[in-house]
Amino acid sequence: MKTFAVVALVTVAFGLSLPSALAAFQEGVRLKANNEVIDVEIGHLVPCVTDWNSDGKKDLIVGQFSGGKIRLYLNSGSDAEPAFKDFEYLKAGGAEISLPAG
Amino acid sequence: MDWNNDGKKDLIAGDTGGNVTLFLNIGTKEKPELAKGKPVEADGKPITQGSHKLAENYAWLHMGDWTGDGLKDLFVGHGSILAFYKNIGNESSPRFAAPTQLPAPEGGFPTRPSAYVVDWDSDGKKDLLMGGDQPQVRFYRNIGTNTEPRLAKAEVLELKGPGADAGYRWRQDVADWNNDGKTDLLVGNAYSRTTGATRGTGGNIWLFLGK
Repeated sequence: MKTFAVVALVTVAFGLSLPSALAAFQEGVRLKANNEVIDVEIGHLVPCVTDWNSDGKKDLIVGQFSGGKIRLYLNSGSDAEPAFKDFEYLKAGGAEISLPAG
Repeated sequence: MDWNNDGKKDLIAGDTGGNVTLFLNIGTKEKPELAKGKPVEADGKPITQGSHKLAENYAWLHMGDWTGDGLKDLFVGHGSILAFYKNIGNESSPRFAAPTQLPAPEGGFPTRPSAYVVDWDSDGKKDLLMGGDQPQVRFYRNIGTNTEPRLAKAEVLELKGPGADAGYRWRQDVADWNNDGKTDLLVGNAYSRTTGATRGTGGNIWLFLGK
């Protein structure tokens, strides 16, 4: 019994000291566009990073509650240092997308 | 998101009515042009509040292969549950079965869940990240296999920033934002304004760069 207890303790200690493969993060920052923090009045923002126009730079698509609209921020910086200016609302079938929001 | 594997980016979007809408790209890779939205169906019926046993209002969407068959499945976070729609179609033409619920570990899933499939601990098996009502992103480690995932109890990711915990309803996306080879996380939120006349409104996008 005594031997078993020692083995169990060693296992636990080893388990705790295993290096974690989990990502750790720096302090967060708010994304900006036109040098101002992106702040949508009725937010519920849902970000999606994608190279929308296949120019080799990641862009940002953001769903918002206001009007059930979807913003497209094209990257005016580089792929490694994204920067954003104005956004446009995505269109479908020729009209701005406006999904039920309420 | 490329719905039909034609090499062009399409868009799927959820809304407060619990609808899931597909916008196919009928333009080009360089100049996407979206067709009018079409409702996404499961078991032959458009997904909307009440359409299926598990279909509720709200729809936070994610597509990812959860069953290891190479097909993108559909996760829909409704008001109180996470509905899982298995892709029973093929790569160029997704088709979804009636929704089921993923077995939740001890502690369950958050309300208003938004799931994200990713191998978060780099052990070769896909895991789930999940945002929800609260200002946090949870990590559910897959302690099963890639074809039969089983989720461990959630660990809350350590994500800090000045005022970040003020906003609620965190919705995450995973990317290598600055191309440094480390995983970064973006989080959208709501209710981020805590002072002034517009207190209780607002929404930001937080960037958490990997260390």
